[in-house]
Amino acid sequence: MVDVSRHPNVELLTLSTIKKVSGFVGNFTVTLHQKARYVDASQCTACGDCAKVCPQRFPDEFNLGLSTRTAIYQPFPQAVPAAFCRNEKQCLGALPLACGKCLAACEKKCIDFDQKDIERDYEVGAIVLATGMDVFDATTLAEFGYGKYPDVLTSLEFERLCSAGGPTGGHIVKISDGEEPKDVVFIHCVGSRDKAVGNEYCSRVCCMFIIKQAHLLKDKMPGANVTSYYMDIRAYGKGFEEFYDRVREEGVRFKRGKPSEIFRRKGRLIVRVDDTLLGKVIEHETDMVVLGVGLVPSEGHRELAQALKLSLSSDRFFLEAHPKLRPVDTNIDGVYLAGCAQGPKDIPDTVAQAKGAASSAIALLNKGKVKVDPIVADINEDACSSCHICEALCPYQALVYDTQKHVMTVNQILCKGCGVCPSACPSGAITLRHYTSVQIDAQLDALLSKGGESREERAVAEKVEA
Amino acid sequence: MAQFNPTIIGFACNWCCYAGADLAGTSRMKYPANLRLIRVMCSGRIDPQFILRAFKEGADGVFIGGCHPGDCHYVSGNYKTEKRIFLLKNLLAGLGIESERLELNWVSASEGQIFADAVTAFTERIRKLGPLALDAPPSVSQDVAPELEAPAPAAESAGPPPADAESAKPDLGHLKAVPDAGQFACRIPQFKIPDGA
Ligand code: FES
Repeated sequence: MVDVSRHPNVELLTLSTIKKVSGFVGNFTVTLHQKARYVDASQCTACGDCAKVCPQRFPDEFNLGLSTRTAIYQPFPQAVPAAFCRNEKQCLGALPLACGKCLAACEKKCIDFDQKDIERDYEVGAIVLATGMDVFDATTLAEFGYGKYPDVLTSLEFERLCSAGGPTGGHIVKISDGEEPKDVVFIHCVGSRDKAVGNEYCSRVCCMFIIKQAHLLKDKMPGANVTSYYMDIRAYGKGFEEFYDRVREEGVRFKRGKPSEIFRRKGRLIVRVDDTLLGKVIEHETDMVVLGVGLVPSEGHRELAQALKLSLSSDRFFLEAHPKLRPVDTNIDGVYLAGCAQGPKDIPDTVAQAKGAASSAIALLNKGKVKVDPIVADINEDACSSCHICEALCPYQALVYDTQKHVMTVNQILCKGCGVCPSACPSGAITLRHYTSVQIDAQLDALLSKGGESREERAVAEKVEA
Repeated sequence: MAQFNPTIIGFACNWCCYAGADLAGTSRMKYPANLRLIRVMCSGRIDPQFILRAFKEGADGVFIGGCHPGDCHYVSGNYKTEKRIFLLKNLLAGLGIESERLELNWVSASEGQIFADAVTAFTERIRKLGPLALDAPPSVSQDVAPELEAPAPAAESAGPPPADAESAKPDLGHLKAVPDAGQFACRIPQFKIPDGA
């Protein structure tokens, strides 16, 4: 990230959302909305003086609410750009009577409460979507009691607990009483491979991150009892199976079965699970449960899909042009996908796809021209009656109304040649090159004429015979 | 008497059904040779006029193959086909052509066997129906009109079967006034296209 922000050819825009995208491959216009940061990022040295004086306290999103932050803050220590930002809804305001302490504390005077959101147009040739994913909201599965019992955590929260830079400095403790847990249960496939919550897909990374977290736990607390309940272990990557074996040797117990319920009895958590290998229901008494939450499409991806006119696959991630042969492209030329925007994947896969997307974009831009298929629609302007019927049918928005000539026109770069419009045009003004009505009619005639005769000719011949 | 050998015209989209037919061929699967296939880029290219012309020029049945819903190479062409075929089937009755002579099928590129089976079943059905007699005077007023009033829901139209026949009756009163299925098919509101289509 730091390298990206320093690269002379890269302009990094944070706090920005895409509002609108128009144009086509090589000539996109992207309208961006950039939220005000209220801090001059080029001046800020991230010294933290402003945060020291801020009286406000809010749950820290990066630590998933396990710690607090101020209203002027840096999202996380390695955030790029390395500058603070101010949440205008949480800040008390600048009026001297209200607060304004940070303004006085900032030596470089880079805090500006009057900054405004900006909207800007960018002319770009290609677009790479790398919008990532979100984690599954574990509160939807009420049976696991997440949000009700403090010691039921998601894997992301557990990750923060393990981190040396996290809220506990890397000490794994129970949220309820701050004691070290003696027994920890991990649950796989929470919100993945589950038709009931609408996520039929495998999130691909959870098995391995749970195995890694179990390993971290054993590393920090060799005496702890660690059990992992799984449906299937999918350790499919390079070195993954070996790692899984190693963690099993470290003493982490893997049991096959999906827990059905978590409840509290005499101050301890009970995990009820059907052990499918033993064939019986067991109740596991434990101190802490970690839910291995799956991945879901990132927030706002639907709006983005609409802005770019992209399709989503049935799992709601962005749809690639071809699952095997064009996994990086989309059905819109010049728009590429990288990482979890296209579907759950781990870091090596994401890096591979991102490099593929970047190379595709560079290859496209360097050539300076695009080859388009000859199979496109053509409009006979004299026949077009401006009924606009075709306009709504085109999935690529390739048909545009020419308000000067009062006829439809085809953007031959956007047109993919499906032929939906020519078969709907009531005036017969649209032809699909290489699949014109004349050509198809000729094929029909050739296929149906017996000995070169049409039905009428045959009828006449039969009458003559009779 | 010799067995009736129907002439069947097939329209197949390039990306799924045609590839499925190709697979059926390369895997040496058997299906009746009555089918004569025309390739189009997408089933959405199939103008209802082609189908009518096929019937007029001597086809006894018309078989249409496209990608499965949601799989169309051109995002949503097959949904438009589904609407057109649904309407055309209802119009065919008015022209004195049994609507069973027109069939829409979803066949993916990997479904060679399904393609062969569908073609075999369709050919058998047409064989039973016998040759298409277009010269017979149309009898719309007596026996076909009731059918127009309450047409059977098209077998291909997606969704669960309706609870009772009354609620299933699509309002097709306006259909009779429309001269050309091609014109009409594009004016009806879009089917609700599921996510990701
Ligand atoms: S491409 Fe097969 S139906 Fe559209």
